Amino acid sequence: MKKILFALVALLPLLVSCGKEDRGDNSFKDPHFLPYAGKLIMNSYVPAASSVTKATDQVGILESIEFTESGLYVVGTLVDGKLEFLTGSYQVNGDTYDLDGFGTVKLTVTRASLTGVIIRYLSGLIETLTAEFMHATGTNVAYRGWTIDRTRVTINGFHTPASADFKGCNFEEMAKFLNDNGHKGSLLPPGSLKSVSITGTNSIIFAYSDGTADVAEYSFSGSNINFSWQSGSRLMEVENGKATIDYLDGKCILKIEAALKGSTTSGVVTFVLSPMD
Amino acid sequence: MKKFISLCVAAALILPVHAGAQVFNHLSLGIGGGTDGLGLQLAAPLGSHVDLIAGYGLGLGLIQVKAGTLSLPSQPGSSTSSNVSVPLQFGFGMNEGRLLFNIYPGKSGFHFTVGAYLGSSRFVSAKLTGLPAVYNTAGIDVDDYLVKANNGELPLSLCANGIGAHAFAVKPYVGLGYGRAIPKKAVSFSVDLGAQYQGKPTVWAKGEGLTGRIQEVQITEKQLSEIRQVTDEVGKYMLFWPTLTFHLYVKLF
Repeated sequence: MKKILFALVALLPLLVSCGKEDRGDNSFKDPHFLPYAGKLIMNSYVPAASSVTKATDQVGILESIEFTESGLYVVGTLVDGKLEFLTGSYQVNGDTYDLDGFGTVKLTVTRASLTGVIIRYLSGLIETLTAEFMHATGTNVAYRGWTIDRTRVTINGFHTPASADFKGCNFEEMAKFLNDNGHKGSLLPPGSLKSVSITGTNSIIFAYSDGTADVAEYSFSGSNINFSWQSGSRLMEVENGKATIDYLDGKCILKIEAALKGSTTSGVVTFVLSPMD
Repeated sequence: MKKFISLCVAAALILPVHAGAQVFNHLSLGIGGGTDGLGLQLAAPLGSHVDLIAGYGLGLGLIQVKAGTLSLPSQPGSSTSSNVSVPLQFGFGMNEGRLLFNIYPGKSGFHFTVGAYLGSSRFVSAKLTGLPAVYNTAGIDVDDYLVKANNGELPLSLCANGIGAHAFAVKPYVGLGYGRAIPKKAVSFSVDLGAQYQGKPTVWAKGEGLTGRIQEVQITEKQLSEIRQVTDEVGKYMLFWPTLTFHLYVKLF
């Protein structure tokens, strides 16, 4: 009996089966601005007066205003035939959205799926127009704003892909990494990426430190995301518009196959994201 | 090999029963060292011809040997970079339990030993030193774990599973030796020579996950083609780990 017991004790570690991989707690609270989130697509817009954007003072035609689930607004303006996006935070007071650095947007009567919109710019200019208001659905935990904890850049090389981690997403640090490895880091824009928002109205918004943004339209296919840039993205071209999304330890892992604009450099950019709210 | 080991273990367990001998009526403590690291062992008789030895060994990596170089690109992500030779150091790195049976055919201390080393698959700790500064930032991504150097050094582990798995290696051992694990008086000395079957070695390193988790990951040719220089060279000689040990046993009762 002693021998049998001894043998069982000796074999005990072998009998312990491997458990399921621990991926941490990946439940998220609803974002604060979910009830107000949506996208205004300007409809019968006839610019009685040109709107003036805050960052560049360029005259443009207002195309859309998106309110994200985490309190970020994105104004899309057509300037010289190109879409440009400006971002900032917003607050809601009744039926009026107060857009920091832009003005106010008041939603009025909804008629035949069109919403009346009164925009009061910071300059004092007031415009009245109609828009289609797509409400956000809030049916996916991804639909929120995300801050960037870490960015892992993997560049394809001759021998093997080289990877590096960066706190946040500072383009100057990444440029040095690219330069050190024989690539054109100078092609990266100045500044940094502040946040990534994935909205329930099918937009991925890359908000930069200078208040501008790149916006892509996307669709989910399981954990895969197919997307295409609405504006000419300053940061990257996307191979086949492919990305994946996953959750680990309470973080969102967004992985994008990308190529640096204007070069032969390609690789994978992985963002480790924390919920904004 | 597996059948042979199984037969030997079975014989070791059955022999004392048939011999009607005293089992576990003595216990001795052994300390020693050798090519299986520094060891601490307990031994008990399973009759007059067989001793059971259970113990633990640790390779502290105190002795580091420079053995060869690894040729790596000076700019790992570049398609045009030249190669640099990086020195590779080795040291003992085992950290494992052992379950052995000494079988004494006669009345002298001459014995055969069968059994297995169990636990960690690591048997050698290695280190790449003098890596170019770019390797402190640029590393390799292995299944979302980033392996990179720190101050120009990258610690590696050479691991082998034997007939087990990476998480729990089982390395069968056969050997012969002289000296009794259960001293007839107070103290005895034993020397043993044998070999552990460990299979083809693999190279592992600690990597940092996307969310900060640290985990040991296997570096294969897929991630770093140069790793083949290590696995091929070591694999030629290290399918069996030569095990020479010296132990001093003290009889506890």
